[in-house]
Amino acid sequence: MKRNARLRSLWAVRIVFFCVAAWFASSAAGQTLTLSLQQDPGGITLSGSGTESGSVDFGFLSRHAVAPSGATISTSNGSWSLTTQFAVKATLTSGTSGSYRLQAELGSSDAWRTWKINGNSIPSGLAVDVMQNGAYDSVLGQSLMIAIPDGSPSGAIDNTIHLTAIAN
Amino acid sequence: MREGLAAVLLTGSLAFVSAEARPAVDPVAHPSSIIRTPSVSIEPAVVELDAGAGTSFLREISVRNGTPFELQFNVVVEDVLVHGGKRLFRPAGESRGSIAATVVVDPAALVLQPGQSGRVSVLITIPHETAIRAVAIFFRSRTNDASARGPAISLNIGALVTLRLSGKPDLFSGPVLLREEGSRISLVQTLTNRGSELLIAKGTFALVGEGGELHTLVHLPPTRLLPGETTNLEAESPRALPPGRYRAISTFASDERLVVREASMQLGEPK
Repeated sequence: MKRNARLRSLWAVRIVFFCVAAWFASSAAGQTLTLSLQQDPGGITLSGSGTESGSVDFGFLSRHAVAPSGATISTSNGSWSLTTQFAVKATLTSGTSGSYRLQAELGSSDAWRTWKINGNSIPSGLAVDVMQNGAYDSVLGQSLMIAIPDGSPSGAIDNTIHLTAIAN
Repeated sequence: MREGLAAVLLTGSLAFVSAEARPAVDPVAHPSSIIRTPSVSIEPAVVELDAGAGTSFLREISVRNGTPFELQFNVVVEDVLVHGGKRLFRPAGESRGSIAATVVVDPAALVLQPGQSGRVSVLITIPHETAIRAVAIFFRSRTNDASARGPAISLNIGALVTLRLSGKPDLFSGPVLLREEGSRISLVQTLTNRGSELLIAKGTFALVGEGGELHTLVHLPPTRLLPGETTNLEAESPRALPPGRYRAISTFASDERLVVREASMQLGEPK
């Protein structure tokens, strides 16, 4: 009985090795990486994501405002923040990369507000990792948070978040 | 108290940079080919070079604009380093033995209309002494979209160029860590490249029952590790498992090295 169990165990290990060998032989050349912007079901509606042009405005916001659908406003002593989600998807046609890295950078410096994606502060002039091992072919939600101190100047928040994908 | 009023706008548009050069080769693609979900593509995403010190390589990299907007990119080359087990990107010339500093990109900027592709040629020369084994070729936009009334999201992309010189990789795997997740088992394994060349590890996680029956076999995506780089790989049994004792076998291979680790655990109450 014990011997049979041992034999079965041995066969299981052999199957594992066989599968590893087959997996190894599957490497291919020719690799196209595509990064796309996607709508997150729980996030604000993005323009340029599923539409050819246009944009969706959050409207005018303050710490006492009602957050628009897909966004939340949180307040704390001395500041308030706006949080929403967007999503990205990367595909790779073939090749030896098993995941990708997503970096983010602000287009221009912001003296008042703090920008974060997935909890990582986003500076200007330097791309930082906001996701290190993104899975291909998956729509992956990204959390965007903008913290706004009380007393900051009124007006539009005009900046650009540069997202960069690169294969690992 | 003055409150900050913010008109916040998210767009899928891309930021603009002034570019001196037009795409080198490809003509404007048909407007009907524009992807409705904005995207950018790069080919090849990874260039793998078997190199010798002092040798040069010329490669072409093409980028496609799958957005409804004109895109203007600067091509930026950075060295890929490892510090504390983690991958870092550093500007050309900042690091000793910088390979990025030797790279010549032509043209150094691209303007792509919607649906259009463009390509650049990349000339890479390997320094005689360098510990660097990868560079990144980024296509980055640098300025804000002047037409946006609020935050815009810009899509950028990069290609990874890896080098193998005369050293050797050395795959090391830590112990398999098992955790009970309800009626499932999750596995975590640390992989490190202790060698002086990059490696690509491929492997599987297997869960074997008491009688030797195979319950789960998970193929993990290939993992590229630069010298000194460490990563944690995780997997979970895709379906619920009956209570019992399980043996986890982690098998990873790279070049001619095979690394096998085992661990076992009791799921649920023992009989």
